[in-house]
Amino acid sequence: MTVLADLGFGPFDTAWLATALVLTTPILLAAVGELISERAGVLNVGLEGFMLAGAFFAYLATWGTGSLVVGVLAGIVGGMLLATVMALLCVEAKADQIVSGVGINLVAFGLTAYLFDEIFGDLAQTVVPTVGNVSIPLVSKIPEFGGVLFEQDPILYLSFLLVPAAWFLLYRTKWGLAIRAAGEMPAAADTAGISIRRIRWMAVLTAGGLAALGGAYLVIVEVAIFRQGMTAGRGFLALVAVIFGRWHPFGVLGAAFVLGATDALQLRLADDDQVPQAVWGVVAIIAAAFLVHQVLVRQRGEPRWTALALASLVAVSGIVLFATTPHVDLPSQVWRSLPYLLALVVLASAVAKARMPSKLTLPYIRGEG
Amino acid sequence: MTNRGAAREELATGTRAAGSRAAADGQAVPALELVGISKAFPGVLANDGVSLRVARGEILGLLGENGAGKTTLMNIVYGLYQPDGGEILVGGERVAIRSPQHAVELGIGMVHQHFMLVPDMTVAENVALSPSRSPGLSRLDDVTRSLEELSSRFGLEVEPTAVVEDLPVGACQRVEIIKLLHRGADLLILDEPTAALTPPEWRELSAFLRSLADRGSSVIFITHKLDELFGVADRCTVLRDGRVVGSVPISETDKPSLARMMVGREITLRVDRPMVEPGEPVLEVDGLTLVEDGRTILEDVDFRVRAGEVFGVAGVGGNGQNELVEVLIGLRSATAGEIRLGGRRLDRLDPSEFVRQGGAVIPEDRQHEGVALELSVLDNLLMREFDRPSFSRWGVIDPDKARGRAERLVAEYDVRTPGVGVPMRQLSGGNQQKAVLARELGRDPRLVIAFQPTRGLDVGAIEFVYRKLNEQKRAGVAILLISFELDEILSMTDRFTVMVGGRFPRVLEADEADPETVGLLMGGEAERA
Repeated sequence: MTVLADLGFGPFDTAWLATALVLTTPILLAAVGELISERAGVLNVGLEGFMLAGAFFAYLATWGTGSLVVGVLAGIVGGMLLATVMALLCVEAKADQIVSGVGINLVAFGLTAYLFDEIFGDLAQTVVPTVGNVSIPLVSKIPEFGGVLFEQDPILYLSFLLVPAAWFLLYRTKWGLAIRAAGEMPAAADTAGISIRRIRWMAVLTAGGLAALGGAYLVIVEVAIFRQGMTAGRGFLALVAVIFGRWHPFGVLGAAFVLGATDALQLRLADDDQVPQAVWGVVAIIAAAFLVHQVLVRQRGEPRWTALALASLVAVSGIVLFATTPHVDLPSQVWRSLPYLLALVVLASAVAKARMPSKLTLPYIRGEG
Repeated sequence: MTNRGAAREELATGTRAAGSRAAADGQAVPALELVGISKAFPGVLANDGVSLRVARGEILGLLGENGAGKTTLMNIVYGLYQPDGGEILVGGERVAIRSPQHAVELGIGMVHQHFMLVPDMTVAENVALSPSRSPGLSRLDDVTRSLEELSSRFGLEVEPTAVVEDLPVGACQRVEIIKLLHRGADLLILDEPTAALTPPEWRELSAFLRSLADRGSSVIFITHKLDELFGVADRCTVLRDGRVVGSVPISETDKPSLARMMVGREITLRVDRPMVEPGEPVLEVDGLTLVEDGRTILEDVDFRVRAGEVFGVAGVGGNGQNELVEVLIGLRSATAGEIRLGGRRLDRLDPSEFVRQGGAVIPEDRQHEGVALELSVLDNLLMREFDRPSFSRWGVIDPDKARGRAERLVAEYDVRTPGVGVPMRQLSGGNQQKAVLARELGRDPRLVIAFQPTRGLDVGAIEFVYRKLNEQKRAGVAILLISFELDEILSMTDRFTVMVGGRFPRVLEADEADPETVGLLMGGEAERA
């Protein structure tokens, strides 16, 4: 990365990478849980609420007991309690998943704000202890990258290990078969003797627990305090990551990292009112990579000419802008909205061709398919 | 697990004790016996004291019209529904079948009318799908090996690594059956298994069922088609309105008497085809081609439908029929080719243009495309003509005129409904279809596209649909009838073609066609036919 820095890729250095990994973690945790849940057929619009509950209860318990372990566990339990409400509504009562999810978010926002006010209203903002970094022997000594990749907190390692674990669960185990069947063709699983109710309950609780761990991470690793609505849309970014990742664990990892990395870039550049040359370069590289992917990797079907034309245009303008580095003034709000703008672009381009689990958001009623 | 394993073992080695016992005491202890099973749903008594028995090594046909209670009864046996009363005996022992899983443990397997396969999984993954308390490995290699072995033993060709959504219907059926054999089923229930099979595929399936029965397994075979019983079933139990009408050995009965039992009256299964001198071509299609995502769906399709003629398109579903209809009515744009309706070119992606030129369509999927279930009968009947000056002025509907028109249509087309204001959802399938006919034919069209117009209807409603289509034909309307039911094509059309892989290999005169030729064409064997 310093090599890149020497070449003029200013903001894209090892510090940026470290920040990117830390910012990816909460999104990734929530997205992996949501992936499992969506593959089982339940969409949790309330992911944001689960995260917020996780953040609040982690803060409360850590503040009360001084123990980070208790804090993390309390956060997870808080998220899972909210997920229980979701499962009662959508799995048992077969209520509409979207409406229930929106309700969950409102409840989580209101409840955490109220409790926070009630408990901490008169106190000065108290900082709780945070989780320290663990350096992994040998590999953390690798020059340049070792420190960034292998001297991080344990939850970060866990979140990245969850990705292959989720892959193994979905594609190599009986539970995985049952989860995928529950989202794709629940009647087939039901007639094979699998309880759709149980699968979906477990899936929703997993989503609740992991999203809450992501929320707890914000408190006990990143900022050490709780603020109202502090998850600031990360739950929704996790929902986007599942779509962008096309309902596949490694796709979700890539998507979460892109969102985390953009967020990190935004932080680096928020005080800047200039678009650094390197940003144009990266835009060109990404567009070119997309072109190569479209042309080489797609084996069947017609190439999507509109997408190709658009990507070529972006790639060429990226190169031109990289070379000329025009003077463009940008207010900091633009930088701050970067991850969300990206999420919009991603949604617009990915959703069109992605294939979601066919029974996503549909309650399973025996005899009605 | 050990139970199922053992059953599988026995099946696999072909020395199943039951098979040899069948001769000795199979008559004494039936594989399955139902005594006085009753089941009510809100407003319907689906099963009313139903009793039946299946011996080991026997193939039982369960015959009845739609709504006679066949599927409900079998869903009870499969543990999907709990009966309100009655007893189930499996192998002579009284059981309460709590769930499909329990049914599987008892050796009962069911092939549902709609396949219970996960489309985006492989064959092996579908078979491996089973309840598990631990997240154990799916062990697809073992499943694959077991499938290959079962496949060669029973002569059922399946490819364990193929993805289900890429398989044709016949292959999916084989996968369903082999899935059940893998789970150790020795009582197989097949719910209308022939819906989408070609005649050769059906012959293959019936031969397989016979060989399975000869090994001592039992088969219950649900159908409303008489032809299928003869040649495969040993005995037939007839259900009507949820009650057993009778149970007879196939060798001691014939089609007319079974038909009488099923319907409760003498019926003629033949429709009289009115002879009309065809007029000018109304629908002309030339070189119609549709390519999507690099896949050729329609390839150089040419045909004419003349006034006063029924032109048929036979063939197994999924050969481009859907797409053909969508292109014709303007829901999809063709890659190449020309469509003319009454001499006017239809080349815009605009379904209203088709309607303005006098086109009417009876869609295949009644509940999704034919009617709007939540809207009233009136809205459904008039949705194509609300903008006519006779019903509305400046965009405001005159409720009295609309009601009058709807009530006339309801009377003319014998739509049984409590009133024109009730939601479509409350009508039975047959009456929904009558409403579709009323809407489409009541506008005096010059072309009717009827896509599977009798799908899922009982004999009475089918007769009605045929009568109304023939009335149109006599009045000089051109009719394009697309159907997967060969009998329908043979009895209704004047000329027809078979659609295979998006092409029309050749056009046959109805009188020169026999089922065998058509079956070969359907199976893509144009040169042998």
